[in-house]
Amino acid sequence: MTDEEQGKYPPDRCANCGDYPEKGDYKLLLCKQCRDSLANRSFPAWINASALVLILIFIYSLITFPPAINTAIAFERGKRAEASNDYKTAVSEYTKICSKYPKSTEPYIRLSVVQYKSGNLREADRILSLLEGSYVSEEQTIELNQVADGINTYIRNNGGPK
Amino acid sequence: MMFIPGWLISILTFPGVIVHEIAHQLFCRIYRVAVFDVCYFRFGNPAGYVIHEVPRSSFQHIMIGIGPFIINSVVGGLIAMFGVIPALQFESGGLFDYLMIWLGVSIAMHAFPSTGDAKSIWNALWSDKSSAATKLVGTPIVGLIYLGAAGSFFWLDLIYGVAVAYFIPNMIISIMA
Repeated sequence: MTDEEQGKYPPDRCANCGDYPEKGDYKLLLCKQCRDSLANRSFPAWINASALVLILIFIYSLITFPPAINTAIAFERGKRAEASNDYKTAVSEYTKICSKYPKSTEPYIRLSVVQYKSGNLREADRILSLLEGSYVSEEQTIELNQVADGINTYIRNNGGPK
Repeated sequence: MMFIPGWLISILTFPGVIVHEIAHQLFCRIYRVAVFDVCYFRFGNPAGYVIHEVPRSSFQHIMIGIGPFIINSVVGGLIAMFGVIPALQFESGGLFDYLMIWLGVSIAMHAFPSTGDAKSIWNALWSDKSSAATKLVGTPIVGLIYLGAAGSFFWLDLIYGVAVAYFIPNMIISIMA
């Protein structure tokens, strides 16, 4: 509302249409109808259309999301099981992630480590070979080297991984 | 520190500006505050605005001012959540996942009320109508808004956007696991 529009009607009337204003502690006098229509000002069509697209994307994501969140939950459970030395559970949880995201390195690293710690050296060795050429952090490299060294020591002493 | 002009950030993250103004307008609707003009996005400063009448109470004024903080944080976090898990946690994201992250972060990083919002809340707080309790609650809020606005120079808005996008899903997973 411009200043010119506001000055169009007497100061004790609705500033928008000149009708009697609604009662209440308002600084700007407006009748009920004008206040309702200005407060409920409609959104432009392009905003409604964009909101609709966003809602559709949201619904699509909600439908496709459960497998992703289940995998993330499995990863969290795997990490907790590993921290409490429950390697059997950790192996089972990490395996779920590796089948869902075969290109992801971290679950493979964790799986290799827990396979090794649970005594499945052959499996740990197989996963290690899958990780060859992957980018891993310094900390992960140290951890994987410990697994590889452990397997090599076992092979030297016993003639082959179990 | 890398300096990128505000107008360029607004263009790159335009969905956030739009949601920010929608949030102001929604809260005006909730409190039956007359809205005279809305600009959802434009190439200028500010990138968007909502011009409304002076609300009846300072509480309403505060709520209209901080409306985007609530709406942008929730909407941004929820949208980004779908892309964050495959793309960032398992390095297996597709184009759609990265699109969701951009959308979510863009929306969440515009959650902070602007200095214009803070100024308007401040004026309402220190008007005669405001109670001592409202002043007590509202003043630190205005301080935080100014702090957030100043922090945007140091990328605080982007940091907040990324944090919302990344930590909300991780928090949900941590609770569900």
